[in-house]
Amino acid sequence: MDLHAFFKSAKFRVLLCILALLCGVMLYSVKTGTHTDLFTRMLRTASEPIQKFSASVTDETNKHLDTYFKSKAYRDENAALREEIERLNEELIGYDDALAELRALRDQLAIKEKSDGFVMSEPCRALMPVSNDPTGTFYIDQGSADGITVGAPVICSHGLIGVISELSEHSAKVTTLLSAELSVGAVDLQSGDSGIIEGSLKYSADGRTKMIYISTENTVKENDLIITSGTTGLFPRGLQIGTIEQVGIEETGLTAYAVIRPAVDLEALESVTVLLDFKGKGVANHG
Amino acid sequence: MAKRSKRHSSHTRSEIKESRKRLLRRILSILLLILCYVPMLGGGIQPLLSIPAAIIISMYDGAYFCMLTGVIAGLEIDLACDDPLGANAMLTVCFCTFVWLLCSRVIRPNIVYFLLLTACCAMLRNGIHYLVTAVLFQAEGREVFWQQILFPSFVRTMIGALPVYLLYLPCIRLLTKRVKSMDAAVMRS
Repeated sequence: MDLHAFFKSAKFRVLLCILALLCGVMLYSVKTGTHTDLFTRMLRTASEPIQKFSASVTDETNKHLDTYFKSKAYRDENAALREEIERLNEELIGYDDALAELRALRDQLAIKEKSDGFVMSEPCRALMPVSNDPTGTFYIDQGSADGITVGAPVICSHGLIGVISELSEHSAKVTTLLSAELSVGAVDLQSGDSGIIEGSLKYSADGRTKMIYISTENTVKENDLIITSGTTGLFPRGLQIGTIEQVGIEETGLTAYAVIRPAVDLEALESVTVLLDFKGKGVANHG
Repeated sequence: MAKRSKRHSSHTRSEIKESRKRLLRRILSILLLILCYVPMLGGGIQPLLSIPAAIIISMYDGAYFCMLTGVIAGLEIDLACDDPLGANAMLTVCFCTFVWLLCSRVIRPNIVYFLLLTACCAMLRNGIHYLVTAVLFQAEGREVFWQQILFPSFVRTMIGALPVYLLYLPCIRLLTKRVKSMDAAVMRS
């Protein structure tokens, strides 16, 4: 092969020009954020119909394949859920009385409902899932024009999903709880032990996240409910994160960790809400 | 003199027809690239079908079109995988030019070389991605990322390469044959 001739040809010079151009585009893209630069926005807008079509086809295909390949898992899960419902029904009998008492007390003390302080966006559609990304990053169809800001928590009826990490006028990127880029102050509702939710590649592929910096003298146990602690002012207190699946001690031996199964099924998301404002936003409370 | 001008005009006509066929082939190639982009956008673990599409086009087309194909395929991967725009495009444009060089001077395009080159390019892309996102930052559980995301994606790309080959090649053969038969007809006349 006469490579020498190729390196002297116009084709090689064109190749170098293309590479230089792509390198420039990449540097610009990295500098401005992968989603917010002009080229990406243009290309994303152009490919949005294809993306929507592809996502819907994949969803339908997965649903059909799930029926065949995961029937045993669903049967087991169904049995476990039945047991859970029975247990909860038993507990509910006691809660009814407690709830009536609480309502009466609230009326007396005129305590506002917790969600009163929440200012929420219009329901956003989860648009574009990122392929080959274990952390389940996705895009939503609202952006800065709708009052959304970077760092705003993204939630659904089941609990916390993640935060807005990149923003353009009419779309935004959501980094989920599975990502190592996101740290959320969390607390175990049953034991009161606190820690930080921070994703790890080790668990994110299985749809799990990790709670780190838990004291070694903790009393956390499996199936405990984890909620946001609200100490950093970035998230309101009390948003459901998930349940503990496994507890262990870090290799250093200084702290414990817990593997968390998120309350929200990230693969089945269709509509989410962005928390634009809440009581105590931006106010760190380490007490 | 009149004979020479007649021969010249018939030669030009065949050239025009050939260029039309080439244009049609290139439109089909671009359509194939767009078609391969659709499955890459579903989220979760997806095959990078732009890679086999770009390679098969590079095996049968000219240098500049190979470069264009490489750029489009790379940008598709960048968009689908949320990588910085241009990162994968740089790799694919280089690889497509390499494939064109290889096929125009050293090897005869066939399915074995196609699968081999696709495997090389997909593995190279996933390897670089793994290196940059996991190994470089010493991320915890990076092996899991390779085993459960990147390797399955590579396997799916290889499985998806076969339909891409079977979809592209008959069109190209058909068009090439037609060009040849027309040339022969022109020459015969």
